[in-house]
Amino acid sequence: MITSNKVRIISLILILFIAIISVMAYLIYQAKTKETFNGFYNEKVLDDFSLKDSSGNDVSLSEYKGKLVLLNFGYTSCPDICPTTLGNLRSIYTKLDNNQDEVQVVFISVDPDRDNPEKLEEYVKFFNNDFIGLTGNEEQLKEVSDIFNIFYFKEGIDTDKDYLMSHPTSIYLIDREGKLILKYPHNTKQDFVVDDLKRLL
Amino acid sequence: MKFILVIMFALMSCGQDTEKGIEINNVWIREAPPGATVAALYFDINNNGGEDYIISINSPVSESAEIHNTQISPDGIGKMVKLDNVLVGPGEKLSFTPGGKHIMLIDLKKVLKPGEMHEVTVDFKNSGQKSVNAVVKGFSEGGSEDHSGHSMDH
Ligand SMILES: [Cu+2]
Repeated sequence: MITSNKVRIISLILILFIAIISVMAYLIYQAKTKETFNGFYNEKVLDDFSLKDSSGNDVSLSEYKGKLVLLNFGYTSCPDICPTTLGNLRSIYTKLDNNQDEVQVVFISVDPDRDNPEKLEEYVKFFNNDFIGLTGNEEQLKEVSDIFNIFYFKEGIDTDKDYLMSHPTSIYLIDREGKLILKYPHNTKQDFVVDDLKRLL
Repeated sequence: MKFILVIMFALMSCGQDTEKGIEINNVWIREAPPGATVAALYFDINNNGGEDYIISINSPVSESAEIHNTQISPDGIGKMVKLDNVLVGPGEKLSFTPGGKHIMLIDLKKVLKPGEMHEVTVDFKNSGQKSVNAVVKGFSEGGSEDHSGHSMDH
């Protein structure tokens, strides 16, 4: 009688133990499959848009379907934020080694008045020959801003040729289906972005 | 005689100490990509003297230079704000770094290549002008590292 009670207690403890372990394992599994990314998860279906590349050709976002896209906004007369971001993207891209052809880095200039396609091309290719610089007229850029829910504007007096601009500083990660999934605040550690990319590749 | 020499030596080193005032270290310009007409200059200031202000900066590499502070709003929109001067309090250590305060060199007169040294003059309200040498850093040599300043490649 005593021994069967003991067995009962032990098996109860064992069952409880197994149950706890299973719940924990399930939670860990769930957290992992939910993809705990380093970037801020920001899922958004993006309408397609098109901008001009350096040769004056229209390039639309849908052309990069099948690739992961790392996108950022700026202007070439920006000495601090933009070179930091593009410098980071350059290092991130280098760290992808043989997965580079599955990732497209795109820089969108929000300053078409000063950033003509040739200038933009020279600027972007300096960081990496595979990077693409796009811009467009005000109407096109407005459309892109609405799609990404961002804004940009010229600071100070419009007549000053050395005007500064306010612009988004995050890196946007778009998945293979053309859906925005992650956002990285300015100067996020390069390896954080590389880790996320490697999980998605 | 020896005694006088010791006193003279002590006085001399004393004089050097008070002369120290403001030190400017780690002066660097980030390489400007082709097509860019601007570049950023960064440095560390160590003030061993009394209260002072940085009022202007000059360099032969650009037409003009402005003191800027990068500000990023919680929604991720960044901008640069022009500062008329920057206070450097007594004993204060101040760093001009990417993503923060920097000197914006406007209308570059030449292409800046990594490794080059360029003279920069910092004008202080009380200490007057101080000339230092800035090194141009490329994107593979610190120009694109994280804030921590350490390389992440081991
Ligand atoms: Cu600036």
